[in-house]
Amino acid sequence: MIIDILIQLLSGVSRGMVLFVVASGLTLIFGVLRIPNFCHGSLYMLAAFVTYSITTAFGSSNAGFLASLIVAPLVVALFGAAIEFFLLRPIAGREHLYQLMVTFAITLIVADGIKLIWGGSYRSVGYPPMLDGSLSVLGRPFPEYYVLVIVAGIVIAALLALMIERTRFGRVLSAAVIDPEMVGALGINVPRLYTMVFALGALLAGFGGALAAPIGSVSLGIDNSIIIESFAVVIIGGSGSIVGAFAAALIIGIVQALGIMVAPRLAIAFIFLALCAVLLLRPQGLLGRRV
Amino acid sequence: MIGLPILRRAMSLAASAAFAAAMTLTPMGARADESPIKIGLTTDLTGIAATYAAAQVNAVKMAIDEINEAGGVKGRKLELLVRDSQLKPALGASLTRDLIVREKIDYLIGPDASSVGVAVSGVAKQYKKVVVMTIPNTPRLTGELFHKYFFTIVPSGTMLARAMAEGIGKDNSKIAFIGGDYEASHQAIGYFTDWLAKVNPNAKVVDQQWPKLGEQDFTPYITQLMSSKPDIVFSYLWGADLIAFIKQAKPYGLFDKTKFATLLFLDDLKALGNDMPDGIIGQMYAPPFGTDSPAMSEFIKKYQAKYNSFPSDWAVMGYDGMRILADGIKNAPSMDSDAVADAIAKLKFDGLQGPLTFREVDHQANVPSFLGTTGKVEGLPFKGLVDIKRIPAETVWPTPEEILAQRKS
Repeated sequence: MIIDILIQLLSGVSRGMVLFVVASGLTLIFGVLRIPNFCHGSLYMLAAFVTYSITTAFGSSNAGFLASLIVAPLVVALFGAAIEFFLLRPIAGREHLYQLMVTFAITLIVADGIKLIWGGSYRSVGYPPMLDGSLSVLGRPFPEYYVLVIVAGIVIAALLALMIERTRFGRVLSAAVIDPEMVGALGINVPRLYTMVFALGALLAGFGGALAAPIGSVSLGIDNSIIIESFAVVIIGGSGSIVGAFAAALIIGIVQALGIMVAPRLAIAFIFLALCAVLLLRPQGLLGRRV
Repeated sequence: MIGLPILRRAMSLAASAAFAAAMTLTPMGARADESPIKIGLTTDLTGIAATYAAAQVNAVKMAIDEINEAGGVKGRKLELLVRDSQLKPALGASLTRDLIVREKIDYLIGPDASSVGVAVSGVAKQYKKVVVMTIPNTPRLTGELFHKYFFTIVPSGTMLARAMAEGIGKDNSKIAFIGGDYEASHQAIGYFTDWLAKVNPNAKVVDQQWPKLGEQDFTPYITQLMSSKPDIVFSYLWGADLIAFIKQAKPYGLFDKTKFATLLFLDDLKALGNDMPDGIIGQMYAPPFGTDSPAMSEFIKKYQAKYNSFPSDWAVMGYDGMRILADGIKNAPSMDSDAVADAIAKLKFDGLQGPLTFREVDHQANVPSFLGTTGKVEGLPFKGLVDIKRIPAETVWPTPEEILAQRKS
């Protein structure tokens, strides 16, 4: 029984890690640009489809997998930069409602674009051959690929934390989360900062999409579930907070995994109960600052 | 003045000749450009079932092209009008109504999702239009929602659940269930347990898992299913959900530890390719590799040549459905809906999967379903079913008494 719980916990952690990678991008965009980026899920989905094309071209080899982990996020980051530069920047001065509408419109455009390029059918990306099997954890099989996902999540979290603590870009970024006007007053090129942050956020969504592609199916509609859970992470963790997003993603992954053991029919509701509790008791999020 | 009467005569001759020519030409001309027979197809080209709709449209188009090349039906060409109901029943109903009222279509061919099927069948009943269903299979269509213009060539949810209960076999007594949390899946486990009590009374459903439709992460469900230590897992997952489940369950060793029986579409086999584990018990609607006949081989060849992809279950049923509708129109004494419905009800149709007829009580065609285990099939670019067993409709369909009882309740 205890081993069951531990294995369940571990799979919850791996689920939380994919969520963290995607949501960390969303929380940065939300924190700095103050835009609830609805199309974040679409960027994730786009990366999954690009991953499909790359791995198919390489004949599902390890090389194809590694290439997709690098190329898919970059493609999506470029796409994200273009979205910010051509669509969001021109309306940056207007009400946030307009920006929200634009990001929502992009979700529809991306979905139709994917349908045009890849067709409407669902697809599958295989596990890379080197991570095809399973490890024995406490005598139970546990997928090797999930170990990679957990490691990748921790590495991304560490890199982001380092970047924010140690680099100039990171410090400007965290200053912009607190007070964007002041950052502008200090002579920082704010529009350029916005484009870079949006591209970084898209890169993270893309990395999440490439990382998750072998786990699930690659199909239209995978943007929906990830965007809802990612917003839950941003709200629970506090907007702009990487540490908060890490904690929130882990909580959601674990609560959902263990929730199924306790009350399977209510498993879906657990996240949203947590979300409501945070909004009522601590609206700025676990690690967010009061605005 | 002699010339004049002659001239007049000549003129009148010419005129009458022209008139006669016109008389003979007019009906011929009219036949050539007489309005085509319009077929309406509302289907879910958008959403989680879009792949199935695409194959359906392809196959229906292919059947129509062949019929038109052979001269059409009663000298008139067939014309297809397709609308996208986006898996929304209300939209499906209004698009179908629009096809009937504004586009003046003559007959309908089936939609995609069962929920939209229910809506389309309702509109067909209201406007007295014949509809042949080729994908939806909720038992409500042949049950309480039945009307005389409705026909189906899809094995119903009841038939499939019963076939599965029998197929699972007496050597399995602990059964765990996983299915998407929506109507058809709840119905399926209901019919399954009822039939199980009859054919395998020692067996019990020990665990049920209900992930949401479109779930991306099945791992918590997988570990839960395995901790109930079942002899076999019965899955009512399909499409993208099934693919995600299989890929995630494989490294957990689920397929090594327990047997696994699932609803399976050809699209799933195609998408998974070699990642599909061998030895899974798959239940299929109408796989082209399930029937070994010259007609089926010919169909596969033509479909591949035309669309450059292997036909799915939906293509097989769409193609047959359209030809059934055309045969009904051809056999009927008039174009009237009642006459065509009567003609289809009496039809002895020679389909891709063998001969089929419609039953009077619910217009369910005696179509087979298939059970087999996954493995490499000669000549297929992806995995198929080996040891494939054809389950005749007659062994699993509800009796007329059951249908009538269902309608009363």
